[in-house]
Amino acid sequence: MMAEHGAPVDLGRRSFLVAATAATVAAPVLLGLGCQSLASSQAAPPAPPLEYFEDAFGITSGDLDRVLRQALANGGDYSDLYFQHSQGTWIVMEDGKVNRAFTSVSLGMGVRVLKGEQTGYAFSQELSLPAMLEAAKAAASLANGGGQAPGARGLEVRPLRPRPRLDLYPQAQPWDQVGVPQRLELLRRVGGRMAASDGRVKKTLLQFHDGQSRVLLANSDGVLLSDLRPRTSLFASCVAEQNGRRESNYRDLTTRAGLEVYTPALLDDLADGAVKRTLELFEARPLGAGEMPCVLAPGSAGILLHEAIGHGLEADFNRRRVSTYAERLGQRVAGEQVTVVDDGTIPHAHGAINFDDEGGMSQRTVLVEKGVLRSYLHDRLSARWYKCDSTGSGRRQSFEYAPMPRMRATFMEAGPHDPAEIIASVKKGLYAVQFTNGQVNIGAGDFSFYVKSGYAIENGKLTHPVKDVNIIGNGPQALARISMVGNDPALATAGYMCGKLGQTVPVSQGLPTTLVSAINVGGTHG
Amino acid sequence: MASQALADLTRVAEQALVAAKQAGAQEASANVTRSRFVDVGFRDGGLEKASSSIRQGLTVRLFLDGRYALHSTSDLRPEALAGFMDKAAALTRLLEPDPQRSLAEPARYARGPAPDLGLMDQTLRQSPTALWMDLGREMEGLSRAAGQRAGQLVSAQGGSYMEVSQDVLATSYGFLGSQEETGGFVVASTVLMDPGQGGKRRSGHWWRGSHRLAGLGGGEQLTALASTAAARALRQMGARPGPSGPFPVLVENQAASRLLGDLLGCLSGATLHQERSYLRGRQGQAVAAPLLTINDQPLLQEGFGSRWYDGEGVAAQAFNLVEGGVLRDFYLDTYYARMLGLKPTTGGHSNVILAPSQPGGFAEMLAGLERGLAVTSFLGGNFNSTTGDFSYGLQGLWVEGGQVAHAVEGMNMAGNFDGLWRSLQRVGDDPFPYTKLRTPSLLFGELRLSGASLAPGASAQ
Repeated sequence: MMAEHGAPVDLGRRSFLVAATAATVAAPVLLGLGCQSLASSQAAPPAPPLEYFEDAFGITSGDLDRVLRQALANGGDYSDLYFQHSQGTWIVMEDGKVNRAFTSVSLGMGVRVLKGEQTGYAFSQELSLPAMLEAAKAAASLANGGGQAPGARGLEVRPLRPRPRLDLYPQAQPWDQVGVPQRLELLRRVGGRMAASDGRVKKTLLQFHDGQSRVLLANSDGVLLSDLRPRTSLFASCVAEQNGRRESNYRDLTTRAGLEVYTPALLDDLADGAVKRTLELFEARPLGAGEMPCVLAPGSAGILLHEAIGHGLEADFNRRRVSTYAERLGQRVAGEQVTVVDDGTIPHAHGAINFDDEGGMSQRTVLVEKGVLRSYLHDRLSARWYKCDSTGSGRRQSFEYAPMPRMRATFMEAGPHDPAEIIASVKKGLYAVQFTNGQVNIGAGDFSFYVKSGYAIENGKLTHPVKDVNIIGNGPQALARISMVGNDPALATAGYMCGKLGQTVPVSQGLPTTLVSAINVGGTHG
Repeated sequence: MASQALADLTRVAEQALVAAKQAGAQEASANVTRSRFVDVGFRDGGLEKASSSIRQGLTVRLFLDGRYALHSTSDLRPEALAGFMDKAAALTRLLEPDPQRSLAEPARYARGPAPDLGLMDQTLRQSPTALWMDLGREMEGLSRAAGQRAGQLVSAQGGSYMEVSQDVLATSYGFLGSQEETGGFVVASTVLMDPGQGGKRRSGHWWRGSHRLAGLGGGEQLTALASTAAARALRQMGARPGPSGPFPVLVENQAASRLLGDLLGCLSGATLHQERSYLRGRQGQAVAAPLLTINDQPLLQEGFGSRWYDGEGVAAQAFNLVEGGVLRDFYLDTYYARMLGLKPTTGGHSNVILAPSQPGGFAEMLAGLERGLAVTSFLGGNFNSTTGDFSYGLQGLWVEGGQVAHAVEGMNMAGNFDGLWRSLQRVGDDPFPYTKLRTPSLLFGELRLSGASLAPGASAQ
């Protein structure tokens, strides 16, 4: 979706998903997607949360208390403060030369005030007390519809107390202590290997990113939490030429981790994967267009869940009854084999969060259990409305935005079938492997996702590669058509960025090999 | 009229250039931006969310010992600036030299005084938050009323958005330019239940914008806008796939920006240099039907992409990308022009305008369509710039004998851009005016559509 000039075009009730780097994805790595409870084993003792923002910017707990009181001085019933200091580095290697880099620093704090179902929001890029109080005043007034509540008295702000949180993305050292030469080393290894791989490779483009975000959250319930959220990705792509025809493709990894994640084996795998995927496209032949069975390869095909049901279960859409899944809790929405989970607690996953962006504890949330709809994804506002607990799904892009219910890592649990058995069951169809982007229309439940590469299935066997086909379907209908689920669950190693109402957050997704009995596949041949 | 904000930003830009020089850069440019916004959303009779703040940032481009990097920060405290620049310079030093990198030739710089492009309205600039709160409330009321008239209303939204922004660009070769803009937007959005479609909701939204407060219009225009949103939801009732096969395709103006955006991506210097554009090396050749002329027009009065200097400080100038179907020019900044051995134009698009081929817009073009599809929005899909292949999901209207037969969803269209743009049959006179890409409705020849079912024996309908 294009959003130009800051125009409010995002009111279109649509959400989209794109691969995390330019246009990205990677093959799956097997991660145990079993029902592990991380909360007990990985809970860290409460760190002194103020440490960083106090040292760097002189923020004291007295300041937080004052700002929260100001925020609640106009009739609001809840407020939170979200401080963020983010740094990011992007380094580009083009045709073997590291000749471009970008860095970015972002600093600020946001104040949210809730008054019933009304939200007022303001932020300040300056962390001085007067600037923060000004933001609090603005948010308080906005939550109140722009006016002063007659005779409003500030609610009590509970004493701030550090809370325990998970520790899902430990690093050997923070990214701001990693030297540039160590980063360049990674690029040279991957770029060199790609250039030497095959004479048909004409152009290579590598993009390396690392970033870290220091976050401090304080709310009027007395919750005080801090986090250091790392993120890194390596995107390897190339253009190859054969008989005058050009093709390009890529492979990438995105994770919440430090430099140590880039093992030599992983780097070689990225290089080889990018080249192999590109060269394979020369063998691609068109696939007949239209409705056909589709086998989704394990891993990034979790995009199906993200689009077909994930967004539709975000509780803000259901509270307003605009989702096609509204008022369907407890009802059957898919076959017995389908269990869908959204989990914020998978170590190093792109969608992992130690706590959500309004102080809710990260958790594993079962959305669909054996085909029955069990839960929506809740933030504080929707939980209050539904009179249930938040699922720890209140997330925001940055200090400039108020949180809303979002996915974390969305995946389907293992089913009973052997992957080979699933492919063998299809007479004529598509085996979809690599996905770049998807989109959903929440109200109608219609979704779409793009298959960058895959294979044709003919008489139960994978025959020739296919490329660049779009799939379109309807969420409830596609879920009902999941007829076989494999025993090989996997989470995609590629990170995806999920966009909703103008805010983008990192997410993960996964799926075992899955058969959808009929779905509309675009193509140029009928 | 230079504002205090503009003076402050100019000082930051100048300080940044001094700091860049002290850090060792031989050449540098500094771009400082600031915007104040108010964003209001009402829904179903009450305020849903309102936010307002000021956002600012600095981006510097450093050219240091033949090396190049770009750095940005939102932390404009003077004490933070020196440290930021030292770190930026240190990183830049570790890169490999790229001798083609430099600022633009000073001879190409825009020269003041800045022309009045009608981008700044003092009334809008001084408007209080309460005005936008009221406008948002009014839009929701109109949207709800229009939804209730349509029937089956699930939820109605109305909103408003205003922004006052400043942009300052300074280069170490002496360019100093600034631009101030105001913008206001109103939006209406309606969700209706589709009876008999198993809980499917149909949504429609519409919006308008203007640099001037008066340009948003009064009660009549706002009512019409809300009605348009509701009508767009209503016309999607009962949507289903149309037949599969090759059919003519009409693309509504707002939706057509997707196709134009993908085409423009193939004209960018970076894409061409990486050999990821199917249009590489085809300057002077026919790449589309002769009725296609695409013009980049930065000096358009009140345009949403209007500017008198570009990101390098180069004087804004209109030029044709495609003229009578022939590819004329690319989007090339100083660096990519050198890398490709071509004449520089500008690094990115401003207002993009397609010349109409004959009078008439979407409605007239639909009425002239014997049998085919009218696309009203795309859903997902993608485009491979290297090969020109595309496959898009879509929603729209199935047309028989110039009349809408039924609403469409769940269809894909696929092909190659070479064929698509050559098959262009008509360019409408109804450009969508509220974005930089002012696309009109476009009618293409036969495109491959895939609809409900191609199972043997299944009839195509």
